[in-house]
Amino acid sequence: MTLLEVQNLHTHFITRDIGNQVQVAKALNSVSFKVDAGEILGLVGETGAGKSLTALSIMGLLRPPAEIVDGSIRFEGEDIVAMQRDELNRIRGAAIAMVGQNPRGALDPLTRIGEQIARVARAHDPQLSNDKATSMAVESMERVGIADPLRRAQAWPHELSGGMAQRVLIAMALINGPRLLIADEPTTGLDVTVQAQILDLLRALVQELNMGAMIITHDLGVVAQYCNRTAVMYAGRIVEEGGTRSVFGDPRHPYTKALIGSTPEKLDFTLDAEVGGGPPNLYALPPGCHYIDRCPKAAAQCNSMPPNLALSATHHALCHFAAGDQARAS
Amino acid sequence: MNVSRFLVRRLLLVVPLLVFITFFTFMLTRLGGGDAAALISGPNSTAAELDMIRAELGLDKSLLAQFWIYISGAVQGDLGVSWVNKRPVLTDLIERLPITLELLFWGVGLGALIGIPVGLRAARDHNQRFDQVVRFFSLLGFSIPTYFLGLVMILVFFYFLGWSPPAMGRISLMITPPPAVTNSYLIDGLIAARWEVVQSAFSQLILPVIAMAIIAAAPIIKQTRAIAMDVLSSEYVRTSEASGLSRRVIQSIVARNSMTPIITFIGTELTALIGTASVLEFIFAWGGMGQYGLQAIIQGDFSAVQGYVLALALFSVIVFVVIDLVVVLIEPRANMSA
Ligand SMILES: Nc1ncnc2c1ncn2[C@@H]1O[C@H](COP(=O)(O)OP(=O)(O)OP(=O)(O)O)[C@@H](O)[C@H]1O
Ligand SMILES: [Mg+2]
Repeated sequence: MTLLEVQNLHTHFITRDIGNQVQVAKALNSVSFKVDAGEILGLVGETGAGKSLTALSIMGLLRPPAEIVDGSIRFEGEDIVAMQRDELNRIRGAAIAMVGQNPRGALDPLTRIGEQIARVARAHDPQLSNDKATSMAVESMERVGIADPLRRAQAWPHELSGGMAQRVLIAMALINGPRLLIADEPTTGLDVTVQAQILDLLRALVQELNMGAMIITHDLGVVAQYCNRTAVMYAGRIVEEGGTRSVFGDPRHPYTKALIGSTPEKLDFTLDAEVGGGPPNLYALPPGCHYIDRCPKAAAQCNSMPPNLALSATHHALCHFAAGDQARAS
Repeated sequence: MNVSRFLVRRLLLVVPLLVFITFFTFMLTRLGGGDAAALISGPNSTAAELDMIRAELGLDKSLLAQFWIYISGAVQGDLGVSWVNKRPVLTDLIERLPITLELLFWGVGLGALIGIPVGLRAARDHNQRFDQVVRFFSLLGFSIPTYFLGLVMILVFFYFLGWSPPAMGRISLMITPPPAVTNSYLIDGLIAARWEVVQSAFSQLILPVIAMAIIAAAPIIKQTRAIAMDVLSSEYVRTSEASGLSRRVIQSIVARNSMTPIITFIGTELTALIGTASVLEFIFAWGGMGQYGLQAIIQGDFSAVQGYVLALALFSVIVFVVIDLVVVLIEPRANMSA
């Protein structure tokens, strides 16, 4: 069952310069993807690619000058882009929940964590008594593996370790039984053991509760290990998407290849990997392929918009040469 | 860590600071010229008379020796005698400090009462109509000179409209002041249960307090807005929004998290606005410590100036310690051993 369907999403930063000229940074350009119940989608790409912006667009958290200029975001069939704040507030924190990076910064420093979690429960059920909300919070903390949750509920955010704070955030995200969970770099800044614990927990919850999840990360290892499907983002476009095994085992977009080639453990995966250079200027994107300036195989065709080539029923790549590349590379 | 130990430690840190400030102003006033002996003896005195007075005041000794005499007196509560009115400086200061504080506290209090909610709302609706209007008026508040504001208010509300009593002190000349307890007529009137005193003191307070509040509110609004904008862009506010919390709940989270820096700022305002209070005291013939200090500076009355500066320093120190204490009490993160 499809939970989330993002179609043709364009999010731009629209400002005026000193001369009152309109300046547009095209940060997301026709982003489309789906998340189904019971699966984890991994969204990867280098810094500035637009991963967080995608999550913020979905959660309705964009602030000026960022603006959704085109496209639709459907959650269980309902378009959230058109929703007013009040309508959106019924969904976010309840049916859709987000866990951010920097877990300590994501907690209100002046509120005890139990109350902080309980307040999310009350926001979505005004009838809920304080006691009931508190016991729900404690239950939720228990479910994410926080030992002695009753006592921990009395802790202040600054008393928590990073891993514990991340668990608290997950407990907060889960309190109203969401059907979709978005995690933006949920493990950056945590040490490796804690990272694995958190991700194992997320995966177990997705399976147990049949949720859909989207994990945003820099870490290809995380994607390979935890995500059913992978979407690779470059300069505001999804350049390749497919089953994780298929994307990692048979990458078709030159950027995906470079990305895989650039992680230390995969150094010898492709020899012609080329990740040098930086992303294009969002104020003046090339008319065709966004990767043209860094691509070792760029050709004249690449000045026109590449097609989203279907390599199988589930694997797509946004490249003129995606289909024929296999022969050349091997 | 208990509160009294925290306080003792803070106050101990303050002693060297006070000694330094005293030394600094002592040297500045002494080196700044002016001849106290001439001031005391008047224009027709002979050189011999002047020498005698100098010897009497210790002015013939070295500056360091003079400073030592002063500071040993000061620790025993002897701040010297005003060379102008011949009264002990400490007596004058103790009598006049509450008079200034009354103006300052009501003014800054009213300014905060208006400024904080306005600043919070301006931050929430930033760049919208409310914010733009607020920014215009707070800019106005910043740019009006205190004396001009005071005079215009007297002109409008006393002279033209006749709504307020004449700006001649802290109580109507027709009313005998109540017995002095705190030296605030408002409070002393309440203590003595004399309603005509309370009423008169209150109506005398209105104009200078409003003037003070206008001057105080502008920076409070600006600062509150900036602090709240900062909180609004924090990750935890974003988490709150992502959790579907209502605008009202989020606004209260923002307000609470803005409070510590706002309170700290208001503390610095209290100390910084003593100067403004002094000017208003002049205009409204208030007769508090600010007016006393300004007069002493103009007349070259060294002991009085010295005492005034010391009182200001002590006041600032007390304000900062109290602010620290408040912050420690409201902040779960604050650490009293710091
Ligand atoms: N106010 C702004 N004006 C113009 N462009 C902006 C503005 N704010 C952000 N951007 C751009 O939006 C793009 C998307 O940023 P986003 O935070 O989504 O990246 P990301 O993929 O999450 O990166 P990271 O991995 O570092 O978190 C970035 O290239 C950034 O430069
Ligand atoms: Mg990001």
